[in-house]
Amino acid sequence: MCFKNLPIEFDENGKAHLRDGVVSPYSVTTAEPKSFVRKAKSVGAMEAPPQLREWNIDPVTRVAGALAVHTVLDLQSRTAVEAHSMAMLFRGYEIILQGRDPRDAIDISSRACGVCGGVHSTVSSMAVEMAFGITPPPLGVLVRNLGEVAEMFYDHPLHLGLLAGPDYSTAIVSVTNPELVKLAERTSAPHSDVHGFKTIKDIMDGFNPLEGSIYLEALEYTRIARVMCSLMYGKYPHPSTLVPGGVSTKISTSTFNEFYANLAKIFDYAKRLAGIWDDICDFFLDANPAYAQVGARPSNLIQTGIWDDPAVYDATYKNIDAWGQARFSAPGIILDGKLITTKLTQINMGIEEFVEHSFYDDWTGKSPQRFETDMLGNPLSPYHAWNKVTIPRAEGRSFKEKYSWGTAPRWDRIAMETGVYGRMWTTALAQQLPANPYLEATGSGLRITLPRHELPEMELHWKVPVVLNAFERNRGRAYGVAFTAAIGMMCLDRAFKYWRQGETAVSTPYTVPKDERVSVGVWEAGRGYLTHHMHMDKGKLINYQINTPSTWNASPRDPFGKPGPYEEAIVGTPILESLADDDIKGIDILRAIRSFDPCMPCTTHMDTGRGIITREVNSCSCTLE
Amino acid sequence: MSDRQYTPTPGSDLAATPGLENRDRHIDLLLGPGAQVRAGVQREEGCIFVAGIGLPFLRDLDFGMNWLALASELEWPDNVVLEDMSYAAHRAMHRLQEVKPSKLILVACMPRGVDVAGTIRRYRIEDLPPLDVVDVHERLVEAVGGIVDLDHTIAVCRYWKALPDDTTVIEVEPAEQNFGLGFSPPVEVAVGKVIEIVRDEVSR
Repeated sequence: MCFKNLPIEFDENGKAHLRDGVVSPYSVTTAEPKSFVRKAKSVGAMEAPPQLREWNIDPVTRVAGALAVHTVLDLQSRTAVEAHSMAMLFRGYEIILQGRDPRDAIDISSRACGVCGGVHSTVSSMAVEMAFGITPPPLGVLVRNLGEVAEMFYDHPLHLGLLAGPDYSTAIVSVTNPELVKLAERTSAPHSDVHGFKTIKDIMDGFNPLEGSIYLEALEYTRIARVMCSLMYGKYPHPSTLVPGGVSTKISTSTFNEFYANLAKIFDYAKRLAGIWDDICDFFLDANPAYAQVGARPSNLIQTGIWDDPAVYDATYKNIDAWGQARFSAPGIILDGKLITTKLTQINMGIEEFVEHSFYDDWTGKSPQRFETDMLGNPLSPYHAWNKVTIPRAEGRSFKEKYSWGTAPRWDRIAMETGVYGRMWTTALAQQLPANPYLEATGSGLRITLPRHELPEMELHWKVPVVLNAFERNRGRAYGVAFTAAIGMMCLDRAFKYWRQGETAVSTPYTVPKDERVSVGVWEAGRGYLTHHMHMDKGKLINYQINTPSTWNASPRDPFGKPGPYEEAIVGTPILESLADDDIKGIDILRAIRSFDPCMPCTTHMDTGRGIITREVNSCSCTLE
Repeated sequence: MSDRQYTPTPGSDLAATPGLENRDRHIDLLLGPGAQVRAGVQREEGCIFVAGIGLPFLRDLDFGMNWLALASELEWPDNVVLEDMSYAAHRAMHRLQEVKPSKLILVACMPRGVDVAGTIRRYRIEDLPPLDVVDVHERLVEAVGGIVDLDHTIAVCRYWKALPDDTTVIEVEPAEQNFGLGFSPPVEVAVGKVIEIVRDEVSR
């Protein structure tokens, strides 16, 4: 049984239907959000007990965009006991896109993110091509795959080196935990033969902002990634070459050769990164096992899959399960660490987006539900993206009412996390990879074989983590570079094969249909899950809904009072700094948040009217604080 | 699903996008009858690099990109490369490290709040105050998070010495900063003036 909370059942042919006799299958009974502080007050105290202290971080630095976090710390147990995640900006791409030519979505939605400079264009072009009823030629699919491979080489090193890395640097650890720096000086780095750092202290020095070698190398690799992206996309960020039915880039064998020359550099970088993050994570976890609780939350993950097999992908909704399962990185739902489904139809029909605690109006009941089923007859909630209407309303500013511009997406009414480690998780457990010399799914992890470059050929083994915490997220992201490099090789091999066969077309002709069409672009960003749900008629967009990884991860509480993933991960995080209560820096909470690689411009995909603007910050195009 | 009924969202049937007429007018104004359109690819290293930095769809804040698009249609000396650099600071740094221009001219709209809208400011990079390392770090962090900002680009590129010694910034004080297309009237007037200023810089 795929669903436990939504009344969706399947017949003997696997066709989904709503359970008989359920009058209001998608009814929502709201519950007051759980609050540790309120509980404490309810026993009679007029104020929160003295060991509790409110801790606000606004903005959370070293993340993309404007994220604020409110926490309550119990200073007696030195643990975070309450958390609220707040997306502090509104963007409104859904509103901007209404009434436009669907092809505009490819360029405009691209501006939703300044970090992932091509992925929204890609998923948008996929949504449009499904609506137009066209299929890209195999090489077009592979060029798109390779572009997204390259984009990961921008995204992951940037986070590991420049955003999360400094949390483990000598500059920071020497302030929060000087005893760990002394221990690090005496601790040899197990993978020094691969990455070249003799001690853990040397790695920590490498993480120092602006001057550390790991920091600077990451900055340099973002350049290599950009070159690789530009080879496939013509320009990066925000390529104009992603079109419905493929790409408009001019491709030749030399394009692939140049791509390979850069990919080979990534092989060695990936080998070093895995060693660096294995060593730093293991050092912290060995030094104090309580670090395993930093950012820990249930292993509930949602992934949409990425990197299509050109022999299977046909851009139809009818075959979405087949081409989804053929993806080199599998879509899937992970509940309590176990794989529940890899079918995109089941993932899609379980999605709902709630605004109980978000600065939007609930649209249900205000207009007729547009779609009760998808194109295959699978039931859809009135809270599903195809039924959603974006109605901004910044009213009710309290944690009991509304506190975020982010919405609360849920799958089967469960808070789900997504990330690079999530897609490695689904791929490992699904074991649906085609035979290839680079990547093997073992059922409990991934065996990644990276070819020789300057470093010899190496086999890396990423294991599905027992506890999903801040360290395992970062470790997974480091192995994610190797995982992506292996998939890059799989795609390059296929690209050369198609080229040799003379199948060199990268795009397909199309006309803009004038009748009503419904479609979805399903793909993944560096941070995981990404969908663009589209509804068009008479050649114009009626509704366009973007759902991004950080919408899931940064979600506020849902109508049932359940917290979002950041909130879950912060509650229970121990304060392991060796500083007195009055000097706490909050580094462990920050490590927990940053391990998700938050991206708030994506999350809240603008209009401030003439409101009070304290400072203007512009991300890509349309971010107003 | 063609037989399904839907409820159009009020206001969804947008009329022709405002601002496009202004753009056409700019092209006519700038190109004029018989203007020569440039062709071919220029040698990059050692070139005079004119970079526009803008924020798409944000009216005057999109000056850099739209000005550049218009300027690109004009005739320039062979050693002049015009390029959109409306991306994050570190990406701009990488691009400048590749191009290695002998002279750099940065064009953008920047709200400083000290001059009236449409004011054009021209300053050289050596006139800026010394760099503060903490400030550079904070700007880089914002840049890698996707924030596009002229000051971020200047700070990060200065820190890693990606700017040529001969670097000039030409910026315009914006009036309209909300979502939309087309410039405000005072900034529209500045378009032609900035062309002349850049031509003056190029000829020096």
